[in-house]
Amino acid sequence: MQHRSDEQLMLEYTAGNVAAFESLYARYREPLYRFILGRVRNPAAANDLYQGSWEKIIKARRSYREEVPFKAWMYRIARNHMVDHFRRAPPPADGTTEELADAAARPDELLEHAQAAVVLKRAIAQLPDEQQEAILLKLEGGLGLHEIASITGVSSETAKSRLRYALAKLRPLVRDPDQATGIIHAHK
Amino acid sequence: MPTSDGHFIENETELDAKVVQAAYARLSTAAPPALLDQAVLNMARREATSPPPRRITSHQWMGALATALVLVVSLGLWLQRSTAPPQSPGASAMRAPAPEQKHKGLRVMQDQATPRLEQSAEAAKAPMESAAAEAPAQVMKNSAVKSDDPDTNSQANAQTDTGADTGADTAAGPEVDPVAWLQRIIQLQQAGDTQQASAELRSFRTTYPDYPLPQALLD
Repeated sequence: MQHRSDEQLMLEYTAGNVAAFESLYARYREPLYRFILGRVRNPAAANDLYQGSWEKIIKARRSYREEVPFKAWMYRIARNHMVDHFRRAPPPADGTTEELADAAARPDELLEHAQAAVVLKRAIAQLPDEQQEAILLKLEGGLGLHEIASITGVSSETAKSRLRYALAKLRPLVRDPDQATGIIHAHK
Repeated sequence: MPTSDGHFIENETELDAKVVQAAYARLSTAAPPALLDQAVLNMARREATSPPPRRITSHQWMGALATALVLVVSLGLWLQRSTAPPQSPGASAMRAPAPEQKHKGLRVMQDQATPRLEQSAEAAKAPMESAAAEAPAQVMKNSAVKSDDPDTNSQANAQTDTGADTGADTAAGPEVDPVAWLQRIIQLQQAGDTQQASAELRSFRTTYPDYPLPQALLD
């Protein structure tokens, strides 16, 4: 199953091959989960949305067409599911404070890594909603401009602009660990 | 610079994206809980073994449509019958003349309706609707008079006479076919009843001022 494309696996699953779905699921379980978690920033809500997204993907399998890239199709379903969720309940408050406290309590060898991760997550969480969505689709989904634009329902130029602004804010944190540490201290 | 997805991203942005993506991938370790994985996979297995939803074939679709159409038409007819006002036999006869009578009647209406309407407007200021409503009755009478059967002719004359005697028609005088009316006037004249014939002729000319009179009456 390793050499099969996402699209082939999805079609095989539609035909009743459960093993094809298992392969597909193994490929996208983590990226999709992190995309959802990055958007809702609440593990309990992320779990619900993650399961709901896969449920929709499974139920919509008969409407899937091979010419549509599976990854973009999957993220579109997950994104729409989240939009519905946000209509009912707005996004929760930023939970990064607790994450920073958890990171500080870890052993020294892991502290730096954990703190850097928290800082990056925090920076993503503080992005405007549209930029956050675009950057998560790029970082987690590895999607291209055209696909991001299609999923979020904007033009390629708009998607590019959102990505550029988001990256401009994230890049300094990645280049300069001291700045990241400064952010952590400021947050504390 | 063309990217792998065929779109152009500026060098700086693309570089930033790669750097941030690498850092993000290294730092991001969140994964769904194992129980969640199990739930999703169980759902996928369950759905894969479930039969596909039953699809309605074209035959079934057409049958359903035909049934619906029959029901709609039946309901429409039933509603039409239940809401229509009750009709007297005479009225129904007037509303539904025989096809040949209808055809003939149309022609007569064209000939007569205009002068009659003008006269009605002048004389009694009657509404146009009343004149139009009288037309079918006129048509019925005319058709009967024009029939070749002599019995029918006499019946029609009798009806005309009755109508004139009872005064059921308008104040302008008896409403009959001009040909039959003129024939009757000629008969009166030939019978020596000149006074009655003159009165009828006056009445006729009042009703049909433009109708050409036969030579016998002109004398």
